[in-house]
Amino acid sequence: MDFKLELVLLPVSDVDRAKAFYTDNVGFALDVDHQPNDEFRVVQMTPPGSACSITIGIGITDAEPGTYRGTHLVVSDIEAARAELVERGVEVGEVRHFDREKGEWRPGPDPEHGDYMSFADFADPDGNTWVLQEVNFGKGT
Amino acid sequence: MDWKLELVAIPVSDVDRAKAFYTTQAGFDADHDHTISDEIRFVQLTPPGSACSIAIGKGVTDAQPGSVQGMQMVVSDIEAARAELAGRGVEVSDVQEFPWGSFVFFADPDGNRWAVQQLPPRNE
Repeated sequence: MDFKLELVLLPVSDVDRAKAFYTDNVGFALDVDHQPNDEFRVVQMTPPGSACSITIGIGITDAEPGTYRGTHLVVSDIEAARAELVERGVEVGEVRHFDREKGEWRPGPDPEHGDYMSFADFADPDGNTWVLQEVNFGKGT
Repeated sequence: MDWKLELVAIPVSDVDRAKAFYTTQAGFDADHDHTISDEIRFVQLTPPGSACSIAIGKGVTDAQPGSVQGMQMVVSDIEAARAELAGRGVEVSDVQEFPWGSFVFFADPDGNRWAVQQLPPRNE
């Protein structure tokens, strides 16, 4: 049977602030914002084209806000993706790549644009961190 | 451009123990296990049929082991999914019913928590 990883519950301290950040700044689509009472709220958002979503809210996770580290978003053009985020007001680190020969991080995208080789980092208002990663450069949508 | 959420870093204290749990008990596929250096090891695991994977390892995340509480997988048959997990020795909860679906819950050896959901019927 398939076990599809489709949802990650992100711990945040201020649901409205985080919702605004992920929808307005990062560009995720808002799927659901359901609040039946003061103790329970589910806000589900999905990155464009993604099979996996995130949920923030009230009464959905007891993880400490800001403790989720290094969740990866795969894009086909990391410099365009970074520019898009910066334009919408997200603070994104410079694009970096791992130089396998030297065994160290270098600035800029991987010169060959190899899959999974180029990265850029950002964080949400609570400090949950995300990593953009480039796959299928020149081939993706 | 698509922005695909494809990888979630799961903080664990013992990579081999966690890898064994996720592969032999939870039933995930082991996609990669690369040791880049003494400080960096990257193990990617994917639940069967899933477009999103998890990564465990060294130098992968600075989150506290066991601090991830909200990973959720969707299955077509919660009873069969529960039986599959229990049959491989996972301590999995009984099936719990909510308006938004039927769930079972389990945790990895570090205490990172997972939910498995069967969606409610869409037709009323």
